[in-house]
Amino acid sequence: MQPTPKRMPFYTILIKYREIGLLIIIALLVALVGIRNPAFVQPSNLLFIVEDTSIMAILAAGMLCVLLVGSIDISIAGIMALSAMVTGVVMRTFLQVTETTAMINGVETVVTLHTSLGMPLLILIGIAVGAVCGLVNGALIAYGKVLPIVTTLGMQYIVYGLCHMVSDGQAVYRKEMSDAFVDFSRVSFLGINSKIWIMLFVFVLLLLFITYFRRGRHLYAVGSNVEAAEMRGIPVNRTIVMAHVIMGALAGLAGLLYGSHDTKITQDMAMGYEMYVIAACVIGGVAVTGGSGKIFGVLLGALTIGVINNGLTMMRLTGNSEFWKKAIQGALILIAVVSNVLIQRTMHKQNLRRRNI
Amino acid sequence: MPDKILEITGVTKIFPGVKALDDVQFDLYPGEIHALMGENGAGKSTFIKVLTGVHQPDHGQILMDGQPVVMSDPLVAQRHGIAAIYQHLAAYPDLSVAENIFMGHELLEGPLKRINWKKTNQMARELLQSLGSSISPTERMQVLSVAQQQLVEIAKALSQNARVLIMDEPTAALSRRESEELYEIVRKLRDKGTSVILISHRFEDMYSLADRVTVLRDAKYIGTWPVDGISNEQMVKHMVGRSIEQFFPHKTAEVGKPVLRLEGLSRMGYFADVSFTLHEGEILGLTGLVGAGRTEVVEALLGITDVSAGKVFLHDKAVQIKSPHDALNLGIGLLPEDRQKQGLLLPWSIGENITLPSLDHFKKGILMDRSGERVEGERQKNLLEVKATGIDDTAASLSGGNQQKVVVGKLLAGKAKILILDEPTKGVDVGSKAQIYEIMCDLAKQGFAILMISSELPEVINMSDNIVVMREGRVSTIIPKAEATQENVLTAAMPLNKQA
Repeated sequence: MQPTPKRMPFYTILIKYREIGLLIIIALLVALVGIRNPAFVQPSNLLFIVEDTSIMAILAAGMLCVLLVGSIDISIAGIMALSAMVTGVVMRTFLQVTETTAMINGVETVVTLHTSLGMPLLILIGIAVGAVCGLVNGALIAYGKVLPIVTTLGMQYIVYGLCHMVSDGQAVYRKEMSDAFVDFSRVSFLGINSKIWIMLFVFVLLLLFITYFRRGRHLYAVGSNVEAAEMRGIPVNRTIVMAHVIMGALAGLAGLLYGSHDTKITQDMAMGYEMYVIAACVIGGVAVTGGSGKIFGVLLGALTIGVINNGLTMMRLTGNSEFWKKAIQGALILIAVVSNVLIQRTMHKQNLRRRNI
Repeated sequence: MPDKILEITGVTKIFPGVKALDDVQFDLYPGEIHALMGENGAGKSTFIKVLTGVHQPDHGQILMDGQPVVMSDPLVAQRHGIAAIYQHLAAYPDLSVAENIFMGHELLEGPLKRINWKKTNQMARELLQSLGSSISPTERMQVLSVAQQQLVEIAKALSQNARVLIMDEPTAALSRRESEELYEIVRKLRDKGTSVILISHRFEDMYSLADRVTVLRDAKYIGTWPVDGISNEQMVKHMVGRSIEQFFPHKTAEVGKPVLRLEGLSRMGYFADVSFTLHEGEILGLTGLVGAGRTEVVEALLGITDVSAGKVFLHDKAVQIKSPHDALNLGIGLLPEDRQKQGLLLPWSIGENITLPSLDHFKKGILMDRSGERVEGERQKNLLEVKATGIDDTAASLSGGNQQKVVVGKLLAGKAKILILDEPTKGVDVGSKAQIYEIMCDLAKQGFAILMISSELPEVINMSDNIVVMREGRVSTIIPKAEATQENVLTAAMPLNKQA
């Protein structure tokens, strides 16, 4: 039995709350870009980065659940597209366009109003479509014992295919959207964009769930030691399914925000987005082997990627070359991941040293 | 006599190819400590799993309080008041100590069934303190030592207020003082009316705690005796099936010149300053309790893991071993503990398995010399008396003992002169055990140097020329055969009493 040390040395604090390390990385990145382009560090731009990252962060929160149980979901971009598309098609079907005249600045102007089904119903549809996709993923993985990466890779193709089918190949554009749907990602409350509020809501809800509720803790148990969980009578399969349903539902929500933000829902919407999300989780310290990861870390991981993406644009290092931007982006993400692995290894070494052999 | 709390009759459990339990019976009174003894592979672990609902028996009946019950899953068993401490730690390394204790029966509050963390941590602290431990409930499980983790496991079982507590090797990683403390706790539990099923390799545990003992051998029920009515020798005979003298062959090989020498080998966090010398014709036993670092030393020796300090000498020349392949090239072969996972390709034939590590010897230009391979495979199979219809049988079709012989054949075909055997008789039936011992003596006579890692004391004491005993990652002593007894080996292996 080890006596508890009286004073925590700095590195143990860093190890215990490794999110601090990530905060430092983010601060460094922000400072670095800020030196080159002071506009980057304007509060309005920093807030914009958070707004710009919010969709990715919502998805990363879902991915945390899936990774915790030792699974993975690479079909989320497709699920986003399908959820948005189904909602979009429903919206298009019930669309009503009315014209009224209103006095704007003393001039009589014609205003076109787009209305469709109520926003709560549309949001419900989008989330439900995502949840069903997640349910299928989870059931195949948990009960069918199909490898998660194979299952969700197949799902990715299926959902993009379905996306094409339900829309008849017709993307949904601004003129077919209700005004409420367009506003969904645009309204502000207390000067802060709705996407940020929704993200915060999702994170607080999930934080409570995985901290205070047994079903939430079971996510960790299953990923940490399946055998022990089984011997303890924890419903392993149901927990895996639940993780995927949460992921699917959040992908549905994210799809709606994405479609609203772009004011267009296409058949190939968000393609390739899953990689950012997984990278955000890994940077945030989530173990892809399951059982370990914190929600605050995931938030910071997403923000790191947001800062990298936005910072690269602001630094104007690469002219307008998208290729260079992508390459540098990839390299930075890799650096972030590797430094995290190094931190983890040091942490493990410290633990071994404490055994005192 | 009060009514039995638990009675098990005619329980049989068949896994594909193996009868893990064959018509086993067992009974337990309230407030009784009943020891369950048997060698590795006797069926004790399966017995527990049947009782705790992890496995369902193919035949037989479980009665609790005289009523037949079906343990359809672990939750049902828990509801019947059965809790188990498993031999292999069933811990969640990433979660806190308190959470490990209460996972599966969390302390909830309010209409939302929120987990009450304050109460959870507090109760965990109290439970651990009742075990005389000051482990912090918020510490993460993975930073604890094996002994500490074992204590948490015990706290976990205690937290369920079990009526029947199953302890599978509870003292295996505990020091003598910690064991005494555990005995005290178990006695207290018994006095409160809890029944305990105690599984242990240590006779000491059985004699100081149990009222009755039941012996299993080769998945079969052998008998039940009151503990004070059975001698040590009788117990061993029941467990092994024959007396020790008949069981271990007489080793005739002389110990020759040194071949392998370890000097101050260390790996941070696992073992430190390990030195010993292995000679030609010698069987060197390497023993210690769970977590003492035996397997880790061997893994480092073979280059599977890195060492942080120390040197390895082969015939007085310092060598760098970076991988098991290097080791085999230098003539050091390993027979791994888990032969099915690490030692054999089960779907492959016996012959292909034997020649796999030495394929370089069977080349014809750029092609494989298939017939040469077959000749070597056949030769080894006959040499080791592998029971099979031919070398084309798959490794999966063999019994445990014969699989073990194939792995040995693999090493011999690879021209290894130094053999490292990690638990060579684990999970092997009694007949094959004796044969493996004979093969070992034979190999020693042919000049092979053998390093045998084993936790079975009779095996270590009767087979080894010298015994290296490890304790908490260090070599505690090296005992020559003439001086070795159960007592002094065990004493050397026991952790020194540490202050909590």
